[in-house]
Amino acid sequence: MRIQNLDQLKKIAAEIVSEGKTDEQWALIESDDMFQEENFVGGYDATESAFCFSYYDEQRREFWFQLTLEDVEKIAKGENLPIEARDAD
Amino acid sequence: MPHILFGLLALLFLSGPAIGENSNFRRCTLAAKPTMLALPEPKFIQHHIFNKFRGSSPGSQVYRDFFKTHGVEVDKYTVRLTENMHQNFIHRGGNNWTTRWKQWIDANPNASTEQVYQFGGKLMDDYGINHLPIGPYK
Repeated sequence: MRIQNLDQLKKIAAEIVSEGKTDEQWALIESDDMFQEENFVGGYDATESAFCFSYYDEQRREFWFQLTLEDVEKIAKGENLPIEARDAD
Repeated sequence: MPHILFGLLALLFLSGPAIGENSNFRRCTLAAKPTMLALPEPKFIQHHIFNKFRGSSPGSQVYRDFFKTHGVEVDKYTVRLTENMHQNFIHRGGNNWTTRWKQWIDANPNASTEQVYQFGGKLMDDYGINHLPIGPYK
């Protein structure tokens, strides 16, 4: 699944990085909906030690993917990471 | 000469404020820029009463299956909150909504569907959001 509207994801990534938190600190405030843009919603999941997101395409079909804090930092810096999204359960 | 003086005085009175009218007030109100002092509207987000647990690990699957087993469609139950309240109150460290769900599911794997909904209601009570209308995720 190819994810579009990466500007929204970059905005979220920049917001996450600006918090300056470690994985342990993010785990304390875990959430599934802390970051919300038109096509993305998600938050840090302590079970996964990763940020888990829903991505909604133009038809509002939902896909899921997750990113480590390290991945998020790369996205915030402008790196284009290959993101594998799967169908939502 | 007296009629010129009278004319000047008449002009002064006629161009001044009417009786009972506050000319300073008028000048201030006419000069005010109405939108300059307005605060920006807070950002609102939709908070899930029942967590999504999107993770790909078996641990997340357990939580996801728990709601699925009870027929809970998690996207049907959200409330609208300010982003600030959501981050600093609902998901604050030490009393985190999501963590409380995980702990409760771990402790109550055989809960009835009624108990699942009751715990969702208890969380809404505990966080003071039980007065908010519940609606589907956009």
